[in-house]
Amino acid sequence: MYKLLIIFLLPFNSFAFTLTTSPPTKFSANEITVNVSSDSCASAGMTNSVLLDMVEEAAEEYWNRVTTANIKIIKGSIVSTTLNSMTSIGQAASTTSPNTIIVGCSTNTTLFPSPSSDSTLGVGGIGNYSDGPKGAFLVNANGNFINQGQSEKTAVIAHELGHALGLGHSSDEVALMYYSVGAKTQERLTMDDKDGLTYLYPNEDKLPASCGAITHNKDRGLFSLSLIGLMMMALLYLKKKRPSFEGLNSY
Amino acid sequence: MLKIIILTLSLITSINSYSLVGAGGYVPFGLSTQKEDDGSRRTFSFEPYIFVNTILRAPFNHIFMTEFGYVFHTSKKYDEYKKSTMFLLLDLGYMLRSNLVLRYGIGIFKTSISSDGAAVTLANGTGTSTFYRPSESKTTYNTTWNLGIENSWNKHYATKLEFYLFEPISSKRDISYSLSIAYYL
Repeated sequence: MYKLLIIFLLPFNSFAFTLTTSPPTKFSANEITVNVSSDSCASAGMTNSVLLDMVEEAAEEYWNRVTTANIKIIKGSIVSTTLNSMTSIGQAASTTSPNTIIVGCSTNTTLFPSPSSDSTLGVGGIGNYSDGPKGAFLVNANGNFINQGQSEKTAVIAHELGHALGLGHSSDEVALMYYSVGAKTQERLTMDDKDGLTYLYPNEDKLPASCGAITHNKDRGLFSLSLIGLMMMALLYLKKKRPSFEGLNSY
Repeated sequence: MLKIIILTLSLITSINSYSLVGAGGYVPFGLSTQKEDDGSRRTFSFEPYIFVNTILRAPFNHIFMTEFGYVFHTSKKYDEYKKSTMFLLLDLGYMLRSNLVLRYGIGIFKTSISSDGAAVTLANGTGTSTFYRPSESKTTYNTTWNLGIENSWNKHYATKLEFYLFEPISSKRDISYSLSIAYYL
């Protein structure tokens, strides 16, 4: 037993999520709509509608599955906004409404100078503005995004969504929020990614009757208790079917 | 919260009851969490936990099993931030046999995350940027539905396998599970 404890307590290398700012910049709402700008995404090998669908897939496959976090990303629409002239992610974010994220494709060579930024697949962030927090990310339409496979593109968009939610890079090489896609297969979030999102958007409602990950439903506790009651009744019914029991001798 | 737990445990232990302590491994969201860069999950990445359990007789061949546990998050990343998980389970046990119990019930999990707020320089695109660790503690709460099986080998030792369905009626529902050994006091 002592040997086991020693193994558990051995020091390891450090890996951890980070935040984009300190104190953290985060959304004040629990449902965040993501809209796509009307800029052409042809250089990135897709249409705006495809980008919007990929954003939804990235949200559903990654961030919307974190059960310990109280935030949900919702698919919006294509909005009549141009982001291609924006030279910073802050400028892009300023064009959207509070508690929303604007997404677009950019060929801006100030933001993505070629060829030095060709390996940069996108950039994302969040900012606090006078009317509230706003997020944005831009896909580098001049870079190597077009050469990525479908699952890699989804992971890249999920990574930039993470920045738009307030997360910085992680030093955990397996994490979605690691700075490089590299050769890894990113099918889901790591615990590090989940802890980061949980830190920014925790479920703070302590009452079992109303603690929801997405929406608050005051009947949940009652529902849970009702289910347990039903299970007890079912077991009682099973008991009648059995001739006898040995009793509670072991307890 | 802590007061409620202490009061509940005090009340229960003041009644005629059995108590046990135990230790084991807990896997938070093992099937939905990536562990390696080949995409594999952390299915068997157990994190050590300890618990105390009080057992009361209940009608209809049932026992009432209140359990309080604490998870030690020991993975490598927790050198840079602290994470702790406590839980309170309100389980009922149906006596399948004299030594075999089907456990089911509800629970509440409390997870806290904190760090030192330090600035760290990490790779960003073709250069580096400054990012920040968490500077304060945040706590998240989740309710669970629990289902498990417990087998007592003799009058002192038992093993337990239990599954915890987090946020069961939410689209974010997820499963954690634990495997443990208990000692009857």
